[in-house]
Amino acid sequence: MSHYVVRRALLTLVTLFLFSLILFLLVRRLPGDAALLKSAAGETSGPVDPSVTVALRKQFHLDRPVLVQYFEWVVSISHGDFGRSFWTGDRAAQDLLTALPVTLELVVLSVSFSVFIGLLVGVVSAVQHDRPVDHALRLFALFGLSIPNFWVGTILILVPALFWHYLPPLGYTSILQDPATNLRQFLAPAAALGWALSASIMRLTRSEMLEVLNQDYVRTAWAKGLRARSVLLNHCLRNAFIPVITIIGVQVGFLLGGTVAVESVYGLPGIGTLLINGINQRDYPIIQTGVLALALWFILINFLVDLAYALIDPRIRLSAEGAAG
Amino acid sequence: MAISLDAGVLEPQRSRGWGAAAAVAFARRKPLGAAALVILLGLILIALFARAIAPYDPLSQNYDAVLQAPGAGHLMGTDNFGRDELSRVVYGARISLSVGVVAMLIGTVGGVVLGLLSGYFGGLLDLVLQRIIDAWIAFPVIIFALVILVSLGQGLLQAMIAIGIVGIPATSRVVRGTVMEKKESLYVGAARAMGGSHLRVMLVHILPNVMSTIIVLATLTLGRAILAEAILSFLGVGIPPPQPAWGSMLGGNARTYFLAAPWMAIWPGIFISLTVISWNLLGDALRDVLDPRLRGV
Repeated sequence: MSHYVVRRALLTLVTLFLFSLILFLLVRRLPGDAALLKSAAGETSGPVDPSVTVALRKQFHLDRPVLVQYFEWVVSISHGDFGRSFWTGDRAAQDLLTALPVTLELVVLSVSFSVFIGLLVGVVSAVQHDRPVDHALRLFALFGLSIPNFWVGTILILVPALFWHYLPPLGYTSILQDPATNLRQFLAPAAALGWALSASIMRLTRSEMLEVLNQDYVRTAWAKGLRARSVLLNHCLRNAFIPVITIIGVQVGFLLGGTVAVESVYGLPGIGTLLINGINQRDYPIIQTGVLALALWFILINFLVDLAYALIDPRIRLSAEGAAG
Repeated sequence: MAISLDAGVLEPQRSRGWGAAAAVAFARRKPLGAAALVILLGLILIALFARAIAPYDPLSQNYDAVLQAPGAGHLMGTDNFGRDELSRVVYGARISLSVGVVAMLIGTVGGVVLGLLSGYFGGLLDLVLQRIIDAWIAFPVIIFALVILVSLGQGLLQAMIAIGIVGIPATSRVVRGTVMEKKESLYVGAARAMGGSHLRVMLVHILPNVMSTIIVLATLTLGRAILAEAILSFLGVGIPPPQPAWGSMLGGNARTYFLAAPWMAIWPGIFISLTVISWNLLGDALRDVLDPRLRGV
């Protein structure tokens, strides 16, 4: 097992190195640079002073060869320094930490929503297998997968506004400051995201439940005369739940980068908004730090999922060790 | 004595019927999938004959008819520039479907080539390719597409390329798995034993046998590509205005008018949803018919 862990960890490091290189080169391919934009923004009118642009480029080290810049970046990261925003001068890591709680709250709420809906709908769908209710619920899940979440978000603002003249407070209030307002701000976007996520949980729960429902111990439980709730929750769902946990892990990884559009609809200053602004302003340190953090998170989750699988199923680690040896 | 051998006899029988009988059988077995197919054909016709169907020029502004509610003159109403919503939605089908199809082709061809090479040759090539794919997959999809798109410059072709590139790794992973499995089959061994080159074995013997997997993946990729285009255009980095992309009709300045003119928010959203729902329904139906093992992909 330790051999497997080391091998996987090394491969993960290789992945991370490749990722950071691709990211760095890609970001530097963005047309126009921050120095140009910033020197242009400084002027009220008239042409940009080229000497200002040159000075800014020098200040940001943009005048050095790209690979040298990459090397400098990696070295400074290893010292815990992720660079400063070209525009505000703030530490990029600090900006990220400010945006993180917003996105994290959105992720936690929408994943809770999707788990609740997904499990409920999945269990009902399995119990009602191939009956009209099952078909309707599967369609409900497919709609969630297909309808763009930013449109669901828009409709969730529009319908109450048109029919009941209710507008949710857009923007962001910290949960510590005003929990009630905070909840009203997050409920709709979390529902919009959660619906899409619930589809995969629902599909998986349904197929797992269908398998479990045919097991002998479930038949025994029914035969003992246990109540439906007890059989379904204690005997079935508990066993069907393990693969669902994996999906939830994957979703949390995916969601951190997938909230962009919904954040934009609801004016939430999360990581998506931070990255969009960073890309528009060519704020390299912000883009690099943000995307790297998302990827780290994603890679870490994948690594843990792989390890969990290997722990559960010896065949996986044995075959991997065979391949390595 | 001449021995004639054809490695093909060892391959599983593939159904070759794609005619009317197959279509009727498909409709019987998968009515929802068939309905989705009909809707998609309708959308494709709308896209192809947009010029004949749209009552107005989708770009022409009319300041005498700003924010008009749906009615006789404008069936779906007008937007804040007095442009006809129906005409814009009809032309939007062109953008949405063309970006979806081309991005799907890029993602599928790229994914199949990488998956085929990685799965067939295995070993060091597989190890290296899979690490690149790992790094590729680690990019958050929309952010990755956004960065590529901005670095290429906004536009139709650029959106196709950016969304296509983002779709490659997922397809390649699944194809790789299926190829690794097929590689062990008797017919592949036989084809190699008879002196078939690697290229021939891959293209003539393995590729047709993973085709059903590829078709199913391609359909699902198409739905995702259309959704991705909508999100990018909504964020204002996809298809540049004034082009009538469904996503951009729902984003940017248009949002300020939604309360006064809700129809501006309704129609493009309905069309995006209808299109993606149809592709996903078709993909699900094809998966059940062609390759049930792909459930959950």
